[in-house]
Amino acid sequence: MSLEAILMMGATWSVVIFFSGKFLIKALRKGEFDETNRK
Amino acid sequence: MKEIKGERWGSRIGLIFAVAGNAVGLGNFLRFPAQAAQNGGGAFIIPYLVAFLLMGIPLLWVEWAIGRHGGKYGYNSTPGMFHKLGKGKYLKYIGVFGIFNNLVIAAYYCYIESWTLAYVWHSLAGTFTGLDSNAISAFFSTYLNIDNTNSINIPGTGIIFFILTLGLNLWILSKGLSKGIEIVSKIALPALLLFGVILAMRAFTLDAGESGAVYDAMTGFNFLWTPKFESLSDPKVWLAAAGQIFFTLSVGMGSIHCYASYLREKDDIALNASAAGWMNEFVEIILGASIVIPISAAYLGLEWVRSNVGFEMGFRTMPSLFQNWGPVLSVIAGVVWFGLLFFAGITSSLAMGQPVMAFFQQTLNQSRKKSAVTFGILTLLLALPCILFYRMGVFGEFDYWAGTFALVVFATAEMIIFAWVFGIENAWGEIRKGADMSIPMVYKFVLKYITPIFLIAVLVGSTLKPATGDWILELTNLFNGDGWNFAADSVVGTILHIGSENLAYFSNGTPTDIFIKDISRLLLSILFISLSFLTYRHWKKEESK
Repeated sequence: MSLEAILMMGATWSVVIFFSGKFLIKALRKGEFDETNRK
Repeated sequence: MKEIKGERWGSRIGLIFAVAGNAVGLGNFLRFPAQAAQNGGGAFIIPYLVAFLLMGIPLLWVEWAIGRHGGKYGYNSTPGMFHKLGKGKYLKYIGVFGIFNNLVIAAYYCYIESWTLAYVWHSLAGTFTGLDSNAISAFFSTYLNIDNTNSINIPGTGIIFFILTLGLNLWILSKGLSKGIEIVSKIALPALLLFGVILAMRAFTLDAGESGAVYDAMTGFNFLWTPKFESLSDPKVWLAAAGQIFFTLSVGMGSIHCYASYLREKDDIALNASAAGWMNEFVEIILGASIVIPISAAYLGLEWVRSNVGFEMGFRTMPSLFQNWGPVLSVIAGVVWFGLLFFAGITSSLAMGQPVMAFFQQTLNQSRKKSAVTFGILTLLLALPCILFYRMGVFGEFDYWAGTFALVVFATAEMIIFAWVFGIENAWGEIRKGADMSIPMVYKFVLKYITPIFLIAVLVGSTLKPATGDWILELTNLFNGDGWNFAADSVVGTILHIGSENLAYFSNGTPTDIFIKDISRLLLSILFISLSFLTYRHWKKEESK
């Protein structure tokens, strides 16, 4: 792979992994909805 | 309208997986790499991410907010939700798009989904073992019964697998939200991720000379990720990127509204929408771009990929490439690849069924099971023309009008209604209500101005797309009095059948493609009018109470 392809892929992957991980972990850490919401 | 009693999400992760599963579809693995390859390789990702941040994420928040807001009043389908966004009596008819789009797309999407199930079976049964690439490609035509000159295609096993797939969808839907859709999403999405990682790892480690590969698979990655920055100045690339964001996030359909309507008033939507949206991007950018093109490039070369990249590659080409991996691994790879596509497909088709069922439960007072049967019958009736007249273009017409054009129309309308009719202050408050994350203030401006402009640009761009693809040249020609040449795949070009040499309805007593296409459009129009009439009748009854 060329250097610019590696940089492009690396930068994009970093952004995507960072934000997808960040929001998913945050949602999991915030916990469930209100108890009455679960049936 | 009565609220559907007892329908709630069982867990937060179940909801996020269900919405992400709705977004993750066949397009993540088959459409995205093709779009990236055709539009500047690595540079495509820049307009793509810009479109995601300025159009995709705002639309996700808007759809979740409209859904939760409508759910507060007991509405689980878009006509009722839109009715509550303003005083105009017409608003509920805009909401009809949210039923129409899902119903029509479900009809042909379940058919594609059934191909993946059939290919899992054929991979397991060893149907492809020993066949050369031409024979495997021809198998696809035989399966669809399009390898002859008949006007009507009757794919025997294709219909059986379609009915099996539809039946499975209906069975899951009839179980309800938490016991059906949620459980399936919790299984299908992790399984899909695992299958995707297995195939992507194989692509990364596939070197020339190994398992029959002619080139390193890295040549495919290099092709996809080498930026061509000059393509950033091409409006076509921006339109393609915005279009891909649309399809990949499943916005403009009515599914997200429906899923969000089962939340309570103060449940978070901002973080849930962001988590689901970014999860879809993970699957699309990281896994979607790492399978089909690199593996195809390793065996067939870049030239072949450039001229053949497209949707059918997944069925015509991939099984033959897997044959190079030996008798056992080829079976496993086939099951993993088509299993992945099946899981991606079923989580999306379930999301198409739920809003339609909710509409019938509320307008026709049907039970969950009865509404599943109604959805099944309508899907079957709409799918039959797609299956039987596949080669004459019914499939393509449904995909174009409901799966492409109507999505953009609905999304543009909902964005304008939410930001301008419901009002930006109400809209901003609704999105932030109960939010488990802070939303940057700049998004208030984006919601009011940028996203609507983006959407209008996509709508106008696809409607008036010039034949040459050069907007400046075409505008110059227009002002010089030379008129405007519409592209054959523009909305106007499609309506006028530009590019078709013979516009006659019959040739030697048999109907032509043009006739079948126009009949398809008539059928879709009748469906939209019927759904609007059902909405009108229901509201009349409600108002007279």
